[in-house]
Amino acid sequence: MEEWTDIFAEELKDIEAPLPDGDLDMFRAKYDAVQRRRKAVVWRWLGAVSSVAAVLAIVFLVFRNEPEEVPQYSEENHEHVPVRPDSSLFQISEKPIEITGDMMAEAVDPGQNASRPADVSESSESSDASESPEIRRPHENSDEQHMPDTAETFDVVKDTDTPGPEKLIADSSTSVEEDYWNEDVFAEDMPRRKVRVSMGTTASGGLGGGNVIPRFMSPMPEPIDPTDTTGAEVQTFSHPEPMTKAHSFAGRSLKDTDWHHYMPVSFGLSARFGLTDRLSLSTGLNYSMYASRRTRTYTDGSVENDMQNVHYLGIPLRCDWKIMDKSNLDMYLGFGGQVEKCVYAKAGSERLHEKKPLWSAGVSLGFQYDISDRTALFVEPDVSWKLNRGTLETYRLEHDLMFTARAGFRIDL
Amino acid sequence: MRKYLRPSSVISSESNLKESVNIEDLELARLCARGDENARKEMYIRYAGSLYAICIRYVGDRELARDLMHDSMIRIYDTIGKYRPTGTLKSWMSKVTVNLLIDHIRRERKYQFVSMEREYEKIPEPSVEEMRTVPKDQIMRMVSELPEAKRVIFNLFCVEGYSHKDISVMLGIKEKTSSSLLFKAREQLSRNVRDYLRENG
Repeated sequence: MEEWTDIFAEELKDIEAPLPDGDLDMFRAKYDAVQRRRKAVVWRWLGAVSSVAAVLAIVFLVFRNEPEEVPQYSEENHEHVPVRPDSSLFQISEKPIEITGDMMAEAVDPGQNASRPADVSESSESSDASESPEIRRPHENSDEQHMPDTAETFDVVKDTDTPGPEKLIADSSTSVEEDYWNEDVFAEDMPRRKVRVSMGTTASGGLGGGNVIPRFMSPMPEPIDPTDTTGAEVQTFSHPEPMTKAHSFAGRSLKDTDWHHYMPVSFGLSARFGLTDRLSLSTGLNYSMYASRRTRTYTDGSVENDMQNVHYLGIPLRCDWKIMDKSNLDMYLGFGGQVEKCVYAKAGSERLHEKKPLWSAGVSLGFQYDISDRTALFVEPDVSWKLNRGTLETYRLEHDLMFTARAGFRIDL
Repeated sequence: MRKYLRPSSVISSESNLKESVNIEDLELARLCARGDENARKEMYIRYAGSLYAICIRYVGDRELARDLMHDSMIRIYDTIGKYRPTGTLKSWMSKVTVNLLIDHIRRERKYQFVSMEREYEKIPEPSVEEMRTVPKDQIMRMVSELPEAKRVIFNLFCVEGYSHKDISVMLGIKEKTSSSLLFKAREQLSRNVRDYLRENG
């Protein structure tokens, strides 16, 4: 049975209301704005994904395994250091072929193929397939190029392991020359030569104080000449204490080391992801620089000063909870942590290493002032606790608790 | 749990097309799905008025109704590819618009679904014949001038055909609240119709 309210349904379902003037233009403008906003969102997400990918890539590069420590210099190691074989040590090994003057001229001339093994393969492509291409080991110094007599012959040894041009290899009378071309030996047994200069400085500990901007122009001692064997023996590889000429003299030892740590300076980029109206997650990349002045006192009364700079890259992760939201001013509490890795450290001219990452946790109280709809200034004083200790003597090592004031500019993507 | 009037996603062959399905509508929907600007403009010109009326029925305020109509049209542009010819294009668009309005009502939650009005004197409800004498625009005005909660319940129950159970799920209210508000909406509309008929003979 039909009710009176059914008439409402009948009439209202097909009714049309007159549209206001200019409605179509208004709708078109609104639709275009929506489309622009959607495109901006796509770019925003692409930027966020790219940022995260960049951070992950940096994390991978920074926290990947470091190469093994350089072995200490010793006579044994030194014996195994291969030297470049004398060119006269090239010997005949197998099938002899006759070297013509044109071929030698081609080998000697730097502009020819002799310096580039790839050229040989190129020439081999154009040549008859039945011919065996030759490769001559190039000389780095053209003055040392071997110019054998035309009557002298060279053997061409086929490389049976891998396809490609045949190689002319050195068949030296000693194992050292063979090892020279052995990449494995070259990489593992050949110590990396580093010259380290030691300097000492006096530093005083304590919170605050000192200069915010460290002095980088501290006078440096004269670097040591590793070939100078006068006086005591000179160690040039992986010596724990960088050496100076003074240190190399017998009868002197390090008496005391004092440190003065400057206030750390850090910069960073961060990305903040709003999860709810109040909760957000932020991460990013932080760079911190810890500068210190080191003063070393020796038993003979000499004092040496140098500067130590330790650079860290860190990835923070923090949850922010908005506790106040006024018209332009927000206040939030942050809880989180950070992992830092030393990417470069130097004391004087001595390279330092900090292998393990350093972890810290902290809380912060942030204040954000909205300049516009998309931009804001913020200040974040925070307190952080060091969760593990490093090995380098820095401001961070001496203070488990650190107060930091962070300020920056924020823009909504 | 939300319950929406979702357009049917069942693909039916052309042999099963209902006679009410306009071939022009199919072609228009297909062109709109491709992003044809002229087709979209044509769709807007054809159906914006009816969608605007739906929005006025639900929200009452014309400015707000226009904004919501624009939003529903944008949503229709985005989802036109889901239209299937199991019903008319207009009915599909109306369903999309009603769903958007329900979302708006739930999001805003400015409607207090609690009846706190005083009791009026009970008057007899109009008959069907008396209702047929009332013009469409007056019917539209009476419904749009209802208080917010009653207006929404009346539209969903009487015009869209939802049950109280469905309405309670959609709006997050009790069935008793829905039936109580519908009762009060019917009372007020009866009074308005009686007043109109008395004034206009």
